[in-house]
Amino acid sequence: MGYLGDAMDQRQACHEPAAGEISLCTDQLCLSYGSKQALEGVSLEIKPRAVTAIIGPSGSGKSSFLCCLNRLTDLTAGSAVSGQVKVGSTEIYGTQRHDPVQLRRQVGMVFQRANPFPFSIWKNLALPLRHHGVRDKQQLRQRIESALQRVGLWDEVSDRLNTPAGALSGGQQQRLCIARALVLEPSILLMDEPCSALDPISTQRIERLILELKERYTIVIVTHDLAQARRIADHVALFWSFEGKGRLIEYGPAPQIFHHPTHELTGAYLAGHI
Amino acid sequence: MVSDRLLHSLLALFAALAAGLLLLVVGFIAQEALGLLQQLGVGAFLFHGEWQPYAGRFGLLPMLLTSLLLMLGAVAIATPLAVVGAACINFYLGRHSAILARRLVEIAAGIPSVVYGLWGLTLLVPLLAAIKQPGASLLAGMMVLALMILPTIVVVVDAGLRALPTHYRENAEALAIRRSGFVFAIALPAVRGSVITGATLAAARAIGETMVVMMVTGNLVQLPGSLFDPVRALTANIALEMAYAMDEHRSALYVSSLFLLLFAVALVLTNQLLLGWRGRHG
Ligand SMILES: Nc1ncnc2c1ncn2[C@@H]1O[C@H](COP(=O)(O)OP(=O)(O)O)[C@@H](O)[C@H]1O
Ligand SMILES: [Mg+2]
Repeated sequence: MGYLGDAMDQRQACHEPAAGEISLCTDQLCLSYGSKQALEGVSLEIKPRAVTAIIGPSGSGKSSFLCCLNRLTDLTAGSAVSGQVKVGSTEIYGTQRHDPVQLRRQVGMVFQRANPFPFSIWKNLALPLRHHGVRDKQQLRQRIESALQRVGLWDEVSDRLNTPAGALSGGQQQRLCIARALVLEPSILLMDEPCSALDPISTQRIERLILELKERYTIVIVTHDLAQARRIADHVALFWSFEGKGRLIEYGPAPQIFHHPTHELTGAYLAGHI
Repeated sequence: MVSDRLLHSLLALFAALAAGLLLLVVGFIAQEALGLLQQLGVGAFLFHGEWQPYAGRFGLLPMLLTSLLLMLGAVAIATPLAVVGAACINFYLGRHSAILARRLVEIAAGIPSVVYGLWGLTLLVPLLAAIKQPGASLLAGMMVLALMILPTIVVVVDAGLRALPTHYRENAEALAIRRSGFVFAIALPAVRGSVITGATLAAARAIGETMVVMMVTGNLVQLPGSLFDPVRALTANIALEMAYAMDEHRSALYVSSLFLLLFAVALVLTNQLLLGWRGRHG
């Protein structure tokens, strides 16, 4: 199965998803902010229940790409997307306006800076649940506990759920944000440099967590840390900026990218020459 | 640093000066009021309804109640409107309209109260009179005061909303929470402190306001039986009678001032209490 839907001669990159999987795939995805084009012709098929790392120099459109996958680009005035993004069987930028709320419940996101809302730990998790119709106290409690368990935070905070989330350490806050994304039970998790503001111990903690989470979730993680990509990625996509336009230049299984890159830029980038 | 220390002492000097002046004012009022207060007892002022200065009856209850009701009514009307207004400015208006709206609110906050009073007198009072005579009433006072304090609350809440980190919005969107959900479930609860502070500041303005209430409430000393009754506020009473009051009458007006001062203190304490409570449980 080809990794790169080679755009020129092969129009469709998105295969039919296997039963029970929510697939994620882009085809000829272009994004521009006003007159500035940030992404050009990105076609790739994300493998389910695996960690896909997106690497590349800064400004190569990694974050922009991630924002296309849950339509967070809608927030930026003047942004325009062309090409396809398919989540499951839905084309999310399709002609009939697709409701982003449904999409974002399926595709969770974690940002670079841990940014819990300025409320208690409990309320940070209860808020999205309540907003999406979970009112039953018992059910709230159970889902909050399971989300906190999943990120390994339950034992650390179960006795102070009502204290402000801002009082947690940076690493704990980031895990809380992951829990907040998981509490809605998405099937895909997008992470934009989730460890770049954290100390090594917290980073290690989150990397372990990511490896656990990939049993159940499809994870796309942007990282500028190549060592991290080596540690956790099953698949790696390298983005590069050509005259300001971000493009995907190589995509494949991690061992192949790290040991036998085909693109000369990949080799140079991984060796630290660029 | 020498300049640092100089600045420090200058600031300390000004702070002491301000505190001293305030103490002077309070001391003066207390001195004028205490004699009568001791002679008649607090109860004679607080628990009696008759204000007949020439007969030596100085019951402040109707006017105290009026002032309190005017303040509560104005804050109750203005706060929700101001919160919605500030939310609109921040999250629903375009960039240019938001700037325009902010300037308008600032201007409105600076309009002298007598202008609001004039508006109330010529527009609102006749309108209310059409519903129930005489028009000049508790309700008219509440409404004009609400209008007067509205911009103050908007300014404070708006500042709170603007200080919110922009990434809260992205986080909310990523959690499939749309704008309205974000505004009402995240942004406004996050600035509850600003709402409390804005409402308290506004309450202080409302309780101390004299001109507006003198112009639109009818100035009849009586316990308000309904919203349409003409009433007299504590502040209006002082302004109306100070010019010719003498001896005990004059002292009684100072006692009124003392009560107004206590209101101000109570407001500050309430604010602290609410903010502190929020800090522990918010
Ligand atoms: N909101 C925006 N408006 C305009 N240009 C943007 C915006 N966000 C990103 N860009 C531009 O798009 C390009 C890609 O940015 P980004 O996706 O953040 O790259 P990366 O995450 O790889 O560092 C950059 O040149 C950046 O300046
Ligand atoms: Mg980025």
